[in-house]
Amino acid sequence: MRNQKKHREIQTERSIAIGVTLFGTILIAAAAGMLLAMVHMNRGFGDLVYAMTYTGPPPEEIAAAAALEPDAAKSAAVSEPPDEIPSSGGKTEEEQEQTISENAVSDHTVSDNAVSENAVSGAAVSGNMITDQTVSGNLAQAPVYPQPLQLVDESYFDDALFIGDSRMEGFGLHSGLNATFYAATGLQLHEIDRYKVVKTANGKVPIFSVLQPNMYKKIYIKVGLNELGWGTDELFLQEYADLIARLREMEPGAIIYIHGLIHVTAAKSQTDSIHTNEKINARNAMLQQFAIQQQAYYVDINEVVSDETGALLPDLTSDGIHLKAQYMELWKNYLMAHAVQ
Amino acid sequence: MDHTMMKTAVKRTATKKMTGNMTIGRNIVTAVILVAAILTAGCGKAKELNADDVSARLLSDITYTDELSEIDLETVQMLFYLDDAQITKAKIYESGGATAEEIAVFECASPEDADKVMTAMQTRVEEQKESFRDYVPEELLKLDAAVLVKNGNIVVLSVSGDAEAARKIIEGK
Repeated sequence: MRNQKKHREIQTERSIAIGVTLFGTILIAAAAGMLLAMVHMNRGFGDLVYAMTYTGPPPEEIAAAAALEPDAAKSAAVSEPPDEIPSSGGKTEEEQEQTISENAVSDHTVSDNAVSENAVSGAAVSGNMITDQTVSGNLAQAPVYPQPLQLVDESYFDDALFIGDSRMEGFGLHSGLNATFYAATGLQLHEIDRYKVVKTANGKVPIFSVLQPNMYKKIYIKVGLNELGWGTDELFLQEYADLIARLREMEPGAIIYIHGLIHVTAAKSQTDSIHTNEKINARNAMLQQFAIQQQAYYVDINEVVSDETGALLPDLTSDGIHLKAQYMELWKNYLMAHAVQ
Repeated sequence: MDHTMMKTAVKRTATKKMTGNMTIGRNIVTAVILVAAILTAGCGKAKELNADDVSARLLSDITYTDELSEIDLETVQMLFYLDDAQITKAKIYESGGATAEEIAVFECASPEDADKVMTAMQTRVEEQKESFRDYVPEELLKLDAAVLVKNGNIVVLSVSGDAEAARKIIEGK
């Protein structure tokens, strides 16, 4: 009898031990997972506490408010984190606005219904944000940002303006799109007011001499290659921000697309000290973040014209830089698969 | 018949023969001159240019650095100042942006329209020189040697690395 009792006691102790061990294991695994996630997302313990104690409105309410009143929604959203853990609960309003932009990056990918043989998985976002730039221009009439990228047809570009350099000029000639192209060989941002680009009855004139207000719903900007040998990155971004501000002043309802620099061929990259793929990639990484900060969309056709080494495919070009006319279709298809309605 | 009469008769026969031969010779010469005149007149008259033929030959018979692709007249309005000109047909081939190479052949409604197109093409070449001067200076050689020809109602512009070949094609050689 005593033995049976002892046996039961032993069994009970064993069960308790097993239970405690199991529970402890689960607890440790959860804590490890949370720690890994925080490290991956570059968050602190304070962020975790903030998220766990958050009692604000759900994200869908914030989005609905943004659709009605962007500015009000933005200030309301400052203290409202989306699904992910915010960067900090104790930051200034500007830093919190930047946080919203950071968290919105997860929406800045090609949506599942964007179907195209050239569709890609979306822009990769570096963890290093540009913190010394503020969004340029008047956003009062700007479309809600961000929105998912979708597949569109060519008519989408009927009210689009393309601004850029010789590569953009070539695209304008051979894309077949019914869009407006203000592009020219050698165009650089810091010469935007001097450079003669647009054909008029009195000869070619600078872009802002002829840009009409409220004409365009989408503006694609592709500059940066000609500027690789000019100034500094900061200066380049400042010029770019100024351009966006001016464009938003004229076209407040336009969606802004910032076009990444197209790679050059490996041969060109090796022989040209300025136009190297290393520099292009660095500039593109910068432009990706800049686009988010400017509430613009980053598009990058390198996904469809470059090889596995990150160089422009040699067959697509005659000089290592410009796409041949017959391959503008790739460019067009990419843009059609990465559009915002 | 006495000797004198015989001599006269022979002389008359010889003269007649000589005259006949001269007539034949004169006819032959006249015919040759006529034929030569016709042939010469045919050569001297300007050969009719055809936009399709000329542009096709310029595209196929000359080696270009870049691959030229055809663009339509509406797109071409972005490049050329053609608003005032009546154009019945145009064949235009442009580079993807790497070079200044291009082919532009216009069939115009009248010689006056052809003059307008000619002016537009001259402006085009000058603007291209301005664009490529600081960007790809090597292209200036092609632009300096640009072949621009007006033939009746037809205007042809060829910018390539072989101006001589282009000129021969345009001249129908």
